[in-house]
Amino acid sequence: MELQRGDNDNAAIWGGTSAVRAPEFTVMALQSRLHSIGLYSDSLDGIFGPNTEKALKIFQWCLKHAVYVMKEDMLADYSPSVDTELNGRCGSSTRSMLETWFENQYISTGDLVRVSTAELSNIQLSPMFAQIGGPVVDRGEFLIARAAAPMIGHMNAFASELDLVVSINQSLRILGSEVRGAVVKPATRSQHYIGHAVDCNLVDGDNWNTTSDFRNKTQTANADRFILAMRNAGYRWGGDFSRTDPPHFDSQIDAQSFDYDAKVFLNQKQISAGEPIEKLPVQ
Amino acid sequence: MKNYLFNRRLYADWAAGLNQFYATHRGHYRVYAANQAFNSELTKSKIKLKNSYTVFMKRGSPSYYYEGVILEKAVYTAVDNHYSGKPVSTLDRAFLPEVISFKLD
Repeated sequence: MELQRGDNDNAAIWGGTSAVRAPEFTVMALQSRLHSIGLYSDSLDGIFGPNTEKALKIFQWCLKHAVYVMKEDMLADYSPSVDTELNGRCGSSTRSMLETWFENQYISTGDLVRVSTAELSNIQLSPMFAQIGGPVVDRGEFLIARAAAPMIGHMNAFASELDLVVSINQSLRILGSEVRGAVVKPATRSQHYIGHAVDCNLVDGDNWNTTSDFRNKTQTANADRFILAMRNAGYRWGGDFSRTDPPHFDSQIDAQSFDYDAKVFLNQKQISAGEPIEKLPVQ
Repeated sequence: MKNYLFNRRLYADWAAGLNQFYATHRGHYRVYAANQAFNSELTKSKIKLKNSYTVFMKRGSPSYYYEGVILEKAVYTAVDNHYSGKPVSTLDRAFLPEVISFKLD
């Protein structure tokens, strides 16, 4: 029997059908487990609705993709080993892993890492860079998803070869932070919300290679070479978008995919809940 | 500004920059969406309008015209530094938009 959306302890519906006897593992027990691992914050009402389903799908996603978990408020490496289907239903394998996480006192977290510009020869934070991440982020550090950290390594290497300085204006963006006092409606989906994008200027001597430079085609030859190298390494440059966004580079995750939804939830929670963030040396 | 409902990726970066600037300079700036009448006034001043633009105006100070969508916070900072009487740095100069003759009366 798999617990699934529509199941309801109060109405005695489990596994999609009415039953006389309650199963050993009820919807409320499932919600309680999901709550304990930091994925479910709605009421423990025994009703398997969309929020329970989403929390369960994120758990299944973690089983395949998580890099870290929290244990006793500390970060621990996590090695996904179970190839659980991402279906939002709680069968025996998902339940078994839920119990494993519960017994190990694992709490879900994101894959954000702190990167220090002090360790990067050709990357700096722009004077306009707004530091986020609260007390866990030191001066001179910025946040990026670990999955996107190789992009920073490539940027530094290409900038070093071309004698450019990458001046970062923004990396991770906090979902909803601009709403208070916003003059325009903030975007709902962006690679910045998952830590997969940076906005930057490619400083070449006195030339900041601004958006206006790219629009007027007055950017430097080294900026063009840098962009070509980034493209060849598999990254997206905003200047290639249909409406150009020259400061933007990203290591894209399809914003319509569940991968994106899971990463938004986990990485934004990592900031909003003040979860620890590892400092990662970028090669 | 006009035509700000453009490409979603571009929108995200533009909206984030504008909202952050506005939030940290509340009370010092007012933001208006350009309308047809404003566009006509700019056109009369021989400014060739693009699909998206921003005009910065302050009484007694030069006006600035930024062609396209502002994607760098440094543009706002450069104009703000000038308008608030702070020294205009080399960095500011790299991002300052074009000065136009259009004035706030």
